[in-house]
Amino acid sequence: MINFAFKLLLNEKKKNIPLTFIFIIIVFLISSLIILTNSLNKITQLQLENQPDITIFNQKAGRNYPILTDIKDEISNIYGIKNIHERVYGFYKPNFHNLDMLIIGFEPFGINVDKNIEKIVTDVNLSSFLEKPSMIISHGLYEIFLQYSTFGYIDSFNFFLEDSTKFKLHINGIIDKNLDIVSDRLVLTNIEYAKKILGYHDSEATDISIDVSNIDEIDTIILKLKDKFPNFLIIKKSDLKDSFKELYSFKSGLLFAISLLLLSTFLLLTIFKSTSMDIKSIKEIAILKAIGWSINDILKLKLTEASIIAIFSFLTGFLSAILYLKYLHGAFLIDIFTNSININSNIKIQIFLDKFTFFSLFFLFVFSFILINIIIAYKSATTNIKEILN
Amino acid sequence: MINIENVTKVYQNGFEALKNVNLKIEKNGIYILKGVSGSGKSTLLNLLAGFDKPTTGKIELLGEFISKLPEHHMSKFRLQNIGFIFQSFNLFSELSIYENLQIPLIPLNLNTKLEKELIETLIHKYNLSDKQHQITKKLSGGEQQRVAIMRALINNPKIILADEPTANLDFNNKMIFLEMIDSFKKDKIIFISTHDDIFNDIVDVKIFNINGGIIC
Ligand SMILES: Nc1ncnc2c1ncn2[C@@H]1O[C@H](COP(=O)(O)OP(=O)(O)OP(=O)(O)O)[C@@H](O)[C@H]1O
Ligand SMILES: [Mg+2]
Repeated sequence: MINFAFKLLLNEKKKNIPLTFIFIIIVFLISSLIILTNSLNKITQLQLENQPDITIFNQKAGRNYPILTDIKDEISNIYGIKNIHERVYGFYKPNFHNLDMLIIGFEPFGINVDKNIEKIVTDVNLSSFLEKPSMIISHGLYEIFLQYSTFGYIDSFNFFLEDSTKFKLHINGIIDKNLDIVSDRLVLTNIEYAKKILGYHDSEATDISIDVSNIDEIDTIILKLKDKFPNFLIIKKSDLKDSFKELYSFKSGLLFAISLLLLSTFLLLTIFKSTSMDIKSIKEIAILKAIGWSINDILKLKLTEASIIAIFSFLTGFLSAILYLKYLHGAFLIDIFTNSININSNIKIQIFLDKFTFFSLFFLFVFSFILINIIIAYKSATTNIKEILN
Repeated sequence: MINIENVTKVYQNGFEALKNVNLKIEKNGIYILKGVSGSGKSTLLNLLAGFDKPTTGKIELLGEFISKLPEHHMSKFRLQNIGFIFQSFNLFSELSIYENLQIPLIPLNLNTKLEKELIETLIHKYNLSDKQHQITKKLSGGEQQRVAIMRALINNPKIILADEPTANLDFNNKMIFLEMIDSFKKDKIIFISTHDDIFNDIVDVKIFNINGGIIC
């Protein structure tokens, strides 16, 4: 039966090749879109998990200013606070190359709020790191540095400080290309040096982050903080979550619309292809009936034919979607659906694929295609054959 | 054995194509249904093959009342007992002779060896061995009709029905057709509708005339 189905399909190359091709393209597009949103959602979720419960900024008129770190003492008096950290990060523009480096300060012996940074830092040889002012940089940044070095080799970089003096940081490590980091223009250095480069005083930081002991008390704690620091911007983690969600629900709405559009095209094409079942296939079915095939036998044949096309096209489309996302990093598509504030588009996005997505897509495409084909085949297998064959 | 009793066929538009047909065939051999165009030959053959049901009356084939048989039983009965030959051959034109002969065997799920044996014996018997892997659309009309006959024979049915099988053939191929049916007339009932006079000359045939839906 399978053999026969293959032969019949191959005999109808003119019809089946374009059909398979369209099928593959649509599966490819929808799979790419869906896997991409899933992955982006997952990434933001993971990034959010790394965020502190409460963040305090010194924000005025929409701009962030350094915040004085001595308020930490005052905050620690509030009941229910687990820990307080000052964080230092910000962009540095060198005087060459149109480039923003993201400087993040970390505490070599302290607790680092960001788990990704924590992970990178634990891999570093700290004693050599502390010998002389050093930094860890991302792979992308390292490559840019190399372009500007005359010797094809570089082991340090000079930052210009506010007072126009130079400050040299040695490159102590390069972050693995495959590591999931926020930016590939990243400089990780001792919090002390980060302050220097970003022009902060010793008693200043970018923000103060707070974790609470009991998440139920977070609103009371925030009220107290607002009371104490009426001029500061105080952000709750869940607010952050909501704003991320808002951003994505808009995007996923767009995505949903596009997927729906593609899907309906697919269904329409399938239905169109099948209802306009040509005389040849109708005659085929009639001949089979005339030589003694039962309706069941005919449906089995049509099922086999449809399955061959559907499974082949689905797997091809789905696999190419994965390859496209993995090796081309979703070029083009990702620009449409992400905002560079969240995810640096120079960065590879990590692909999250779960069984649920795979099977939903599989059922969606393969089953609807087979089903439509079977219904149509059933219709012609049960109509009277006598007129067709004479 | 074929037994047609009081069969009428009224088409949906009210046209009565068969009027109280009675016909009994008990022995193997060649039977010719002769009549002009529109006399009801194809209508009767379609009823015999179970492609259509009579409006009234009974049709009994090999002891089975096929006029009452539901579709899934009918197809099984047809697979085992009826071979049908069309005027326009109705082969799968892109498939080879061998593959065309495989098709009626697919629902039977035979093992490959037995299948091969059945097909090759038949192809050999009717002298198409050297062309067995050629696709049928490249064969001559006569050869195509031979393949169509072989396809009707492959399941070794007791009854062969043929609707104007010689209409598309030249004289030589008509003679070959006659030779072919002659070779299996001893153990089959061969029921042929035609207006071809070539069947008049063969010995041992019984001819029914049909006119305006009435056998006379
Ligand atoms: N589906 C149908 N609906 C209405 N009338 C039909 C139908 N099929 C056949 N007829 C009519 O029934 C009569 C007998 O048709 P049938 O096809 O049995 O004739 P025939 O003897 O096979 O003719 P031919 O030699 O041309 O094949 C014709 O007048 C035809 O117009
Ligand atoms: Mg006719």
